[in-house]
Amino acid sequence: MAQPFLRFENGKISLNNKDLMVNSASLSIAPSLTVEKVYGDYDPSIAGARTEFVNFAPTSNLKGQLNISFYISSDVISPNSVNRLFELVDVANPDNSKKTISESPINGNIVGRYIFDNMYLTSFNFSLSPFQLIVANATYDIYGTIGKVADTYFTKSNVDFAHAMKSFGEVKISNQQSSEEFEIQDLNYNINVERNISNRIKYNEVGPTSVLTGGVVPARVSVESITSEVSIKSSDMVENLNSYGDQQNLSTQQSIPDSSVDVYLYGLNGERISRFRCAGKIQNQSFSITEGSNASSSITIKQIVR
Amino acid sequence: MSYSNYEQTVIINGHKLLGVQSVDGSYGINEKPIRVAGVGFIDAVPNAPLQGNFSVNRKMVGKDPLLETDSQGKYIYDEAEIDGVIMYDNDTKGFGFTKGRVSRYNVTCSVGNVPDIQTDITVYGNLGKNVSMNPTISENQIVQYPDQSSIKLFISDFSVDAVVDFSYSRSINILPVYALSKGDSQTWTNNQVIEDPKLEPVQMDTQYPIETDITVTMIASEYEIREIKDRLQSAPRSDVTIQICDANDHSDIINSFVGRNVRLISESLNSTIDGQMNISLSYKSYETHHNEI
Repeated sequence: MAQPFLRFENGKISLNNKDLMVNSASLSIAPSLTVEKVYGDYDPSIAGARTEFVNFAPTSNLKGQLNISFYISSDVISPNSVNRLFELVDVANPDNSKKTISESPINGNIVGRYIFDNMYLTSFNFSLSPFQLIVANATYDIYGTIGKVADTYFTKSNVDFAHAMKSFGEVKISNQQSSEEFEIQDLNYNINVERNISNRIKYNEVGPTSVLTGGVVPARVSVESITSEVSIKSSDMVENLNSYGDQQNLSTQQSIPDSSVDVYLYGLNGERISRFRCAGKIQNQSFSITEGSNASSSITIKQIVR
Repeated sequence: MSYSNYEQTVIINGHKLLGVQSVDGSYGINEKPIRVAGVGFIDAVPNAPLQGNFSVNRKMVGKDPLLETDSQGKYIYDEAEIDGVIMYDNDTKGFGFTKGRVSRYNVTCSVGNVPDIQTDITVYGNLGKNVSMNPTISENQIVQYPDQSSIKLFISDFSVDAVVDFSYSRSINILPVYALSKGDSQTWTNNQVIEDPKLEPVQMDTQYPIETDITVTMIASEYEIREIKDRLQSAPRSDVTIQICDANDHSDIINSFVGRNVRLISESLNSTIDGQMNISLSYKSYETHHNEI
């Protein structure tokens, strides 16, 4: 007999019918409701009609969100091969010419005891810190409702996890190689997808969809924009930063190349996993010095992919 | 095969240490267990830099090479890395370390004993067999013994009564800074391994001030414990000097330790039925990097 509370070991997480090695997940779903009020009967005491609450009314699709934190691994047949699961990784990889991702929903998703479809990736990020395991995070929007499934688990061993000890980054400010003394203490890579939902009036009104538990789902969830952003904590800031977000060492702003950060992820056993790039303009940088630690700088570069 | 104590040599920064009583070397790896939803435990992976510890206990039977000072009179070990090794089996085997930093230097002495020196070293570099195996050995040191008549202690603001024991201790906090490894697209394209995985800190900074604690226990005679309210309000500073001289030549200082601008932070009086009344004084000082106080 199942226990009332799901054990961590029995809370399998699958996306697109593929098992994923997740260390934390949170699933939420909420209707978008507004209060319906109408004018009631005539009330002589106020010489007018009082407003009356009738009901809550949905104003949009039933929408949820899934946040997962997972370990990246190098094994190509591993559940967590980012190359297979996340198209965003292809977009971020300079070896690919891909500039957008599919608008198709991700179906066949299970988080613990709950099953759902119509999921869309909205962000993916990971961070590198010295000697730390690389943990990635992904966020999805979910439309429609959720169902329930039995507790389940899977088995996995001998995984080569992506680790900062073997991975590295390369920073080029306005395409200039950074100096020998320039060191990166932490690196955060983010790629975000801005999406727009479209609903068809007739599609929503007619047919069985209007009486299903989950109600209607969007007719299209389009990809409006994709942006990538890298923030590094480093030993130095960029000098001679101009208003265009470039390092300007000459008397012209013309033809200054973008700044870039390349991140190369390797497994702890030295296997190549994936390469990420963000090439764009410096959005901001800062310098801080605090008692008890060394001074550190922060640089953020942003790229508009689409 | 086992190795007797007379077959071992302890070398720090190329100096064969004299009077070594014991040496402890160790390292540890921190691991993070990986637990996955729907699976459970999968593996454990390293999640912290390798750090080792090396601890040497000695009797003070000669000048301590670790007490070398720079032109400003500051101990070189405050800022410098040190290497060391324990060699054995006719110096063919060894257990050594690189990139060590002194984290604590402690001298204790009581009447009737040769002073003890305890040195704790934190290792940020490599540690293990065959590390630092070919040190350049400095010239042999001269063995010199102090006795209780050749140990002198001066405190600038009063005349010291008969001292029965003292301790001098410096604690040094090191801030190691680690960074991500560097590489380029060639490394990736050619499926190479990075040449310089940053397993060691890119920078090691001493965190100032360095705290020095000096404790002196003396037989109560002329000295009287001061009033705490006076101490709290005025907090005067003194200089404490400990000179450990050769028993055969009291003018030949083997090692000396100075606490400048130390503050008396505690006094205690101890009296038992089978002993003399003792007074213990504890002093503390703070040594700075640039800003002399």
